[in-house]
Amino acid sequence: MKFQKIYIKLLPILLLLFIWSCSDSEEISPEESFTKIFDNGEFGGSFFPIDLQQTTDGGYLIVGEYEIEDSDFYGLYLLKTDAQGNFMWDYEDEGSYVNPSAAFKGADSSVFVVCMDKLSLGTYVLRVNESDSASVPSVVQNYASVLYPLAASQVPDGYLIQSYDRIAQATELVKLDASFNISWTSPSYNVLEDSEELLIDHLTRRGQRLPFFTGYVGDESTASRYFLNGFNNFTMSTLFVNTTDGGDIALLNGVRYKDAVSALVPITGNNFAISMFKEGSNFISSSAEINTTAGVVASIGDIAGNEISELSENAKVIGKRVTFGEKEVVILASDTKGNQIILYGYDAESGELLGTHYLGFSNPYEVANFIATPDGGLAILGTTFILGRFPRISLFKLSSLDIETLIGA
Amino acid sequence: MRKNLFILLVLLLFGLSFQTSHAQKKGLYGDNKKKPKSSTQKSPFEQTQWWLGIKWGGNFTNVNVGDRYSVFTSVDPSNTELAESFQKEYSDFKKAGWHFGFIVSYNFYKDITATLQPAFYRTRYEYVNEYNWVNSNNTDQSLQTSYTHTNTIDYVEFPLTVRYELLQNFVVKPYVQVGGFWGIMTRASKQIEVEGIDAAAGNTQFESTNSTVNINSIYKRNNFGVMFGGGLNADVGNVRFMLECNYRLGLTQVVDPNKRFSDARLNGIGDVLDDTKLNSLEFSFGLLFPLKYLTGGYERVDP
Repeated sequence: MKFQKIYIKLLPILLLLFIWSCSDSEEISPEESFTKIFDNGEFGGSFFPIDLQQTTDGGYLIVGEYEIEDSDFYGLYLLKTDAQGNFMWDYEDEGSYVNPSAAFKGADSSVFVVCMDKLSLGTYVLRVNESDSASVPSVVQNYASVLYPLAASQVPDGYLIQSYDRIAQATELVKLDASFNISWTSPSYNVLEDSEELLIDHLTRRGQRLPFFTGYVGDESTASRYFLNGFNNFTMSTLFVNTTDGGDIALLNGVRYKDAVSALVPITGNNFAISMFKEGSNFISSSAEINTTAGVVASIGDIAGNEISELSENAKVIGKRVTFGEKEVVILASDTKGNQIILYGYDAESGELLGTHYLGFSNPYEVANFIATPDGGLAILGTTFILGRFPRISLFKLSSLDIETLIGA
Repeated sequence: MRKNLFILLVLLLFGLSFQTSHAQKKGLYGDNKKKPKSSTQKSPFEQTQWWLGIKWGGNFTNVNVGDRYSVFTSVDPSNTELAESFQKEYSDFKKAGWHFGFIVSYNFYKDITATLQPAFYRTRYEYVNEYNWVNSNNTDQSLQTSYTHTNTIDYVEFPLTVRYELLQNFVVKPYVQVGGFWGIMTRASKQIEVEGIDAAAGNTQFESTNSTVNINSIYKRNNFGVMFGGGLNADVGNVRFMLECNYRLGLTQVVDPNKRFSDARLNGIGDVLDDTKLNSLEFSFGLLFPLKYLTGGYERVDP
């Protein structure tokens, strides 16, 4: 009887233990969260990531560039991972493809890559089959007259490529349709000086990396204005142009090449999230009014912003508008003075800073790009310098739980 | 987790059930010659004994590795040596931990005891990552590094065992025991020692020990397991000395998969924890004091 009593007394305690132990939070799968550094064990060599796209198998196609011997430019490098970030295959181009600037996801299992010809400086659009590790990427289009492709982006009805005409000393915007045929080429945005040396320094990574980018104002189906950040009128400027021929310019001028916009994210109408560097310091405004009406000329000096002292000098910033659940968020990714990657999450509507998240430690890390993933997370592409010396590609996958922490959802 | 706890429950309930039936049998057929009173002749007060004591000791951990994870990923499938170098090498039973706590024992019957030993339990284990970067065109250019990670996890533990004493008529009584434990993680930390040789810089050797890094969030809060072992009890007067050795089999995968990659400091240097269960070999020494006495002369109850 006595044992039975003890037995009966112990049972509830054991059952409580059992129930409590079962209350562990739901575990996420390995695809949702990981960190990878891709290395070949070589003493030397340089690999820099540029862009990434998630593929149909849940993996990632990373577009990057690597140090080649017969050119000062960096050759095209492709790396395919599975959904958990494990290496599947890579491709080091030994031909004429250099300076990749962007990757776009095709309708099928293809990824399109914009890059440059090593000798002619013309532009290629290449098709990469995500499952094909052995074949050379195929050429979709070759634009011999579009020199120095510096930036590219997808717009509702096609693509934009920002180029630089070294003869005319002018920046150009090329509009492509959905089949990568040229719809129009903008009028020349004259730089009025030879800035090719700056471009060379940028592309060969011998000098300052400059924030070339393109984009559009509008929603997913319609663009009201295109914009580009590039050389114009002795400065690094942001130009807002019409969508029909690249005319009707509105200008947001930098100051020479030292003060410039580093990222621009349209919110609604003339409201933008913007980051800038001025004399080396970095500023962010999560809700800035910028008049994009044709003929307007403004200066980034007119835009107030919070100085972000933790960012590295003239920091690279990648900005995107992302929807997590029902929350519209602006994510800005950048590099800190402490050699980490930092993510800022802002409420798109109010501009309120929701949170920050740091990536990397000890070995220096620099952000290259990021994408939102269907599982409610983010995939962040970066460069890490192993033991402070060998540049290698790193890939961070943040889960939806990490994002909840970042944006306070 | 459910499966693990079911095993623990079954063991505990089996232990209690076994000793209940055993006690009943002993009560019916016990040897009256060796005892002043038979079990049935004893009052309920005399049929049981409580013990209270302290214990302390050391432990050595061996890691049972499940799925392996690595931040560094080889992009050269033909170089299997490189891929293997990105995996951790664990050292079994190398790092000593320690524990200290209390013992509460309850003699259901003369030779069977249920023992609860709440304790602070520190477990430590070590693994090494070795990386080499070699210039394939000039092997004189190389960089070798070795990261030695020592992980320390502190638990407040509640081991519950059922013990069967052998050789009742001897002064030193050996016993065997089986049971389970439940640990609540209170703190986890890591110390990293880095050393290497930079052949490209005149064979310069470098070495550093990072300060301790708190990694509480990476480990799960609960750890369950089963344990079995044995020991010796020696009664000197009313004091019972205990020396025991147990093997503890962790049933919980202690790394939280939701937090595995959450520490930028570790990921930044290429470190991420594998799925691991912690097995330990522990040695404990204890002193126990009976709580039930028959007379004012402190003659203890001997069930």
